[in-house]
Amino acid sequence: MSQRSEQMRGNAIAIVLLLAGGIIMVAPFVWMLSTSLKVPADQYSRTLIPPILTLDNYREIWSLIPLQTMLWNSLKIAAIATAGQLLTCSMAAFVFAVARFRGRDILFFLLLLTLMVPSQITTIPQFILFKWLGLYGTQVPMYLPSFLGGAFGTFLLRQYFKTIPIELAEAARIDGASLITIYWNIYLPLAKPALAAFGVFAFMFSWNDLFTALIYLPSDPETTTLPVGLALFQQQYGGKWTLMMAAVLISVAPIIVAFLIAQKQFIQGISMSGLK
Amino acid sequence: MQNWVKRAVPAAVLLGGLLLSSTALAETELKLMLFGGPVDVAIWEKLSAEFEASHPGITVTVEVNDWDSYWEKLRVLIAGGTAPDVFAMDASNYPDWQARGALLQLQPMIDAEPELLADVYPVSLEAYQTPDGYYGLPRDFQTIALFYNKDMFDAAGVAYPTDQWSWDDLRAAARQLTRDSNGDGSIDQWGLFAELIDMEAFWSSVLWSHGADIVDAANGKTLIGSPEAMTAWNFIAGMVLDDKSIPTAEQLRQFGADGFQAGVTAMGLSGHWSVPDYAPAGFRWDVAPMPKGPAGRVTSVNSAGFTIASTTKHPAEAWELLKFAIGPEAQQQLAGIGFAIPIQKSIAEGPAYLEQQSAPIDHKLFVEALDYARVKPVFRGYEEWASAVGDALQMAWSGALPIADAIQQAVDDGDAVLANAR
Repeated sequence: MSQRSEQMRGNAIAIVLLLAGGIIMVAPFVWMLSTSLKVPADQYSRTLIPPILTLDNYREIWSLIPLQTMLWNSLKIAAIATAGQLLTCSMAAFVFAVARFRGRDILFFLLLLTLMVPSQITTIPQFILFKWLGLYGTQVPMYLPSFLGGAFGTFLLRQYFKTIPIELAEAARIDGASLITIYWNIYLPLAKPALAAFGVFAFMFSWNDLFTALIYLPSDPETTTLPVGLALFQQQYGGKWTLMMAAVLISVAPIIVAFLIAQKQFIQGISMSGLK
Repeated sequence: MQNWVKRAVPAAVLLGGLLLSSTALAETELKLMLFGGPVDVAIWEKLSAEFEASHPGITVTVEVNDWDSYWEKLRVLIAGGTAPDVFAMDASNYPDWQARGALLQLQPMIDAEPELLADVYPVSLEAYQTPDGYYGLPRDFQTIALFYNKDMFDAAGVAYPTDQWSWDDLRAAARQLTRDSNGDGSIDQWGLFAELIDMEAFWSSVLWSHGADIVDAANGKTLIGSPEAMTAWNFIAGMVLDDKSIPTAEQLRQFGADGFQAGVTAMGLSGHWSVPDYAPAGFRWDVAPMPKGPAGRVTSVNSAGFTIASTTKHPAEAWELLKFAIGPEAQQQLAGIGFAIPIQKSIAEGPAYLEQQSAPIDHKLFVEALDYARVKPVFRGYEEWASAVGDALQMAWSGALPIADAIQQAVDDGDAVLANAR
């Protein structure tokens, strides 16, 4: 009995702490929602409930920039880029984690070295390369690099693959499974939590990528992505916060959805693999 | 022989005609890039359609980005060899882009049309003149004026600013209007919103009106440490650090960048670009000229312009587009949206600008300011110089360095930049 009440007290403390943490995390989003529903004259008012409730900000954005087209462009590019990253990084990671061949560790070391190269250094050469390939002005440069692996994802997934007992792969090998079968049927299903986490990273990275869209895509609404459209609001002089908040809310919504989907995968992945 | 000529001449004429007509039929595609917001997208789409209608055979793609993105994009596009044909320029950045060889020399084209710049304010042309002619032309200009919140002046019983105000009058009023209205021990209403790092809106004018100068780039000298300038700096430091009537950027962060727009400062120093932003504000406001200093009244003038890429494949068509963009038709429509002041005298002093619908204020004041305006310094290495000076000023306003030491550092660092840029 006393043990139970102690447990309940422990729970209560945990709930209070988590609730406090939750409120701190959610407050900016609530404030954002509130500001997006205010009229411009009230944009600096310090009340949470808008004095005058309005949906005009959302209407105005829709009339100012073709948001649907930009949303669709962003979504398409982020989805393709995420798929590319998940596929190629996991393949590379699998090879680095499981296969044995001469020079593997040196190759992996070289891959890690690319993490140290600031992206500013490669911007211009990469730009000239894509121009030479005739892809400047298309959306291809936005996702093609994602199909060429990447040091961060490969490293992350390799570390995870390393935690999977190598005996699983060896047993499958004895039963006659090919490397591809082992990768696809054993390692990928076991790595769902890591893949989900990395997928969210990759999606967010692509979704928020202003710079690549800025330099490769013509800044017209038909081809460009949401961050470029949003930056347009942050005009040269001053900002229109009510509009900004409405636009930002629209832009974070897909990330929240992506995260919720991935969160389900986290739990599934953990329960299925039996890993803790 | 005769026969051969007889046959060859018509053939050549025919061939030539074919070539000419085929070049006339081929569409020339021009790219126009500029900085701005959604309003600019709309107006430039419209203007480029008008240009296409009056110039058959040329199509124009307009790309508008926000200020920061614009410069990032321009850097990569030009380095990558895909420069837009015509693009927007800011006078301050112009010498650096010109020095990099990115801009087309416009002088021969201007010489061919002596009437082109007849109606343009000379002061807005000044920034774009180089020893070997123009590499760009202004499209609008900005002077700085004093904005004031009538509601706050009324509530405090302070008389509105007049055209007789001196900097000391401004300081006195700002002190009266700085208060802690809810008594929680921290200031929640300030006297003046003024940009303290960049020179354009505030400190260049204070220095000039105290008889000081800012920079002598030709001789590599930063002049903001002269005795006259120090009087001006002490005046500013008095307002920021002693009276606390000018909020620092950190104090303003919670209200967005513009304290006047946020309704937490009674006055603000800004250009006409703020008018459309201030128009929907929830308080009554008006404008007054820049206050006077011991050496008279001075405001600063800065102008945005257009340039043509030195690598453009269609210099003639790009020149037509640039002329159109700074010409009367386009200027007329741009005046209407109220961000900037047209460079064509007849338009800035005509109904398109003076009777614009942006806000019910005296728009003429911004044009008349040209009588006492000085051009915001434009020189090679400006960006680096401005950030060196800005870093030192930051130390003064945060209280990390006494103002005299900060200015000494600004002069040393600024001179080092100038020595490199020459």
